[in-house]
Amino acid sequence: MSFLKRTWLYLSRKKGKTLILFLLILTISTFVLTCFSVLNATRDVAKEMRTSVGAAFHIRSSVGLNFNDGEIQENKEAQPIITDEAIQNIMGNDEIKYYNASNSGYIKSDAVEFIPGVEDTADNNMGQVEALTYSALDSAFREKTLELTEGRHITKNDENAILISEELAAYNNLSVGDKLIFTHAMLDVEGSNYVDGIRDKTAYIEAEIIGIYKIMKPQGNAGLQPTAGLLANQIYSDHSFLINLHMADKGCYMDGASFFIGDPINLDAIVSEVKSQDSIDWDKFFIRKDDFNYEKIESGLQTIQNLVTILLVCVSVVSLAVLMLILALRIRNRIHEAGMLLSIGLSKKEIVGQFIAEVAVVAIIAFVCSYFAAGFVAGTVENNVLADMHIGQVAEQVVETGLQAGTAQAAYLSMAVMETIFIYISQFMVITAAVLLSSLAVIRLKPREILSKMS
Amino acid sequence: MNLIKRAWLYVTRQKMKSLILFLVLTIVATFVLTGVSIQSAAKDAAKDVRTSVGGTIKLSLDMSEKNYKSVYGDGQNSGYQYVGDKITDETLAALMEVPGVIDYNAETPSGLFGAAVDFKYLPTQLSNFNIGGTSEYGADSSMSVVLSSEKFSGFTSGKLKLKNGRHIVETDDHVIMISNELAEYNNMSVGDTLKLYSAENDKILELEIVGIFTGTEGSGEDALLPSDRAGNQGIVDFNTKSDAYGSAYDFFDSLDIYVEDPVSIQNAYDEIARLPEIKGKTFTLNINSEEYDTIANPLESLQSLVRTLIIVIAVVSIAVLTLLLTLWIRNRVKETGILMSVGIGKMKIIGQFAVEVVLIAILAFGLSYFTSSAIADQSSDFILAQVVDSENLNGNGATTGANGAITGDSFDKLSGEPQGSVDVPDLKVNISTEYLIWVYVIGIGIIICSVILASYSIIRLKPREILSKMS
Repeated sequence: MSFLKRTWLYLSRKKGKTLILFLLILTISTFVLTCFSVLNATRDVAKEMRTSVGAAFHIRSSVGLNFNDGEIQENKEAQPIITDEAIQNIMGNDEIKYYNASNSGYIKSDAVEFIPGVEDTADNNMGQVEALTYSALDSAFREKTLELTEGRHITKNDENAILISEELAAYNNLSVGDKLIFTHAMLDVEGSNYVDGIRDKTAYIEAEIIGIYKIMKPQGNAGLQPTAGLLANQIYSDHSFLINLHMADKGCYMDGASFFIGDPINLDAIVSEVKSQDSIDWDKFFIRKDDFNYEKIESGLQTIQNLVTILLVCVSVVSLAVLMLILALRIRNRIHEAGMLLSIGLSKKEIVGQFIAEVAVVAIIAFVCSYFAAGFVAGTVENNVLADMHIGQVAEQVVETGLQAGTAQAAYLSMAVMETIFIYISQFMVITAAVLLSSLAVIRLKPREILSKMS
Repeated sequence: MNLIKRAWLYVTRQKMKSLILFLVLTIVATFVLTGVSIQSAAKDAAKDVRTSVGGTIKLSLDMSEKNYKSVYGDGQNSGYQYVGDKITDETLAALMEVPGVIDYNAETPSGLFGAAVDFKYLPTQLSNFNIGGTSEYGADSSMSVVLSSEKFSGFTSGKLKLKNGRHIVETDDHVIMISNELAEYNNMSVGDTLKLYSAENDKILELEIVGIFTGTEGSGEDALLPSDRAGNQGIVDFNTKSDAYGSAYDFFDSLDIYVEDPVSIQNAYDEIARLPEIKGKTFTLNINSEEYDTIANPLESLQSLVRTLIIVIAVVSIAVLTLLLTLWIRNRVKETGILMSVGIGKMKIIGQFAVEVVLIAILAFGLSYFTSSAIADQSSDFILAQVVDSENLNGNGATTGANGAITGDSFDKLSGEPQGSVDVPDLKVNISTEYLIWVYVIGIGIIICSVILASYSIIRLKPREILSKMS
């Protein structure tokens, strides 16, 4: 009778014991698998949490104006610009999700009367335009100084689209969808008057109002502002609008650019990588990092993750220890059997082989079942714990479509195949080792000793 | 021979088996104890996160028209004046009595306008032109007025960082914090005095520079007016504002009330709304916990995950224990049969088995207290090391980024001086004796139940059946 046949007979005849062993291994491997998937989930959730905080860095020119005895050299040509090429280089990093470059200028229109500021005249009745790639990412909107109340935000693909303030809309009876013709202008000073620096109008462009925003925090120094300086007269547009009005060049951004990344943990690394690129002259630009206060929650978040890791180490060690001890107990209870088998002339190898084969058969069946059991447990946990988790942040859809929208739900409790296989292999090795070791303690005795020990 | 004695003999003679059972019980108990203590540590950590994000309740004056009265005064001051209730020192004192309220701050952005008398503002597009009623000292810039600058939104949002000197505190009088840009432009440093001209009452204010902050660089070079440029916007105390505008304006527009744990912000809100100093007055109250709301959801999920893990651990521990004991009893069919055949009662046999395991369990649970304490200590050390590590890394990053800004978040409340050392959260993984008692009670309960269940399948047989079954 081969040892495999004996294995089979033992397992099929000692049904109760086999069942208990099966349940033990099943429980433990389901347990370990579930715990590992929970660990993975906490890692993902922590990442989601960091991502919901987000981070950004801003590139600005550092030599905008020369300070010569307080005289300003109004020399736009000398001002360093950020080019599309430089932006594309920086965007080469996959961690960077969006950029928002800006340009600015002034516009006038016969169809719009701007809210008058200090020393307002028909000549200087103009508004400031801020051209952006994605208006949702502008600091004023992110910090809720301004809030879009109607229509949608400006996105990369818009052409001649503008956002105006509620005040300006009410002042001129404008609403979303209205189309207006604007011309270029330049705020200048002549004597003690604000004037329009562009006398010959050569560009007239029709723009459509696609959104209206509300000013949430009043402009502190509104009482000092010329018409063009009033926040209520501020107009946000896409880049093509200023280019069409001859106030900006295609692919050139004078007012800097902001870059948005998901996970603030990568901010430092990305910024130093960007700084090493030479497509931007770093003597003329500098970078400001903005982690949106992630540092405040960093240590607490990390502690929770560390605790889970510790827990997991405990889970693994304990599970394996319990498994080993139980198998040791099982073998010790079979001294009698081992002695008999030895005395009828079976080799030690065959006996140990039988013990290992018994456990191995049970373990493999238990592993397969545990895969499904763990999937079931994970599904239950997922539904009960994580179902209503939703993530804040500047949601991608809002940026891309300019519309406010809900967020999608991801599956957190899933197991990597490699990890699962790794766990099974480790368990299998521990089981085999445990059986081998405890059998050796029995086997190294002579049959006579064993039988006398049995008593 | 009574059952206790038989149990004792079994335990002492079957040394190896007893040892294995002892080890399994120790491990399982240690495991459960550690798990529970880790869960409570995770709870503390989550609270730590919430507390450091915090939440505020904004108490503002109701600025609607009914609270205004038009005053026709001396030319410049004509206009509307707020005549509703004011936020006073008594209001502040009452607020601090509300449980959960830990601090307050008042800030008025652009609360004071002043022209530079003995220094120059950073240039802007229109700073050279005196248009629209600027004084002989040139254009005004706007200053934010605060009670305590550490809680000023510019600093709490992380935009501004204190570089030199200290923060403004409630007791300060005629002090100012200026940007590093402005300080360098004018060669000023902490301790210097600067003069601001306030047109309101035609006054020159002498202010001592107590702090210099960074974070304004790179914003506002293209601004129109000096007051538009962040680098020109200083921070002053409320006493300076009262001096400049007179006692008629000696009150706070709004007050940010800080609540320790954003989870309980609604309770604090309700309490505050009930205060006699607040109720029925011309004030409005608003909760601002936006920052917390961003992370609240994932944070809760994280906590439920940890909780789930603990429940799973407990369930599995119980399952393993039950299975193990079943195995343990099933291996003693022969013994049971012999004991029954010599006429020992079934109850006594079960009793013996239970006593054996309980004896071992008492020792094992006792030991588990020490092993889990050791693990807890190790865990605390590990976490502390990690946290300090990351704080340091973070500190270095910020230092290079913001020209050597002081990164420690803690400032002395009275003097506004930075405290230097990094505030390490006081986190400990603790094994409390309460948990141990629970482990004893529940553990022994489970042991007795599983022994009875496992024994029952044997005991219900007749001795003859048992002996035949033994083969």
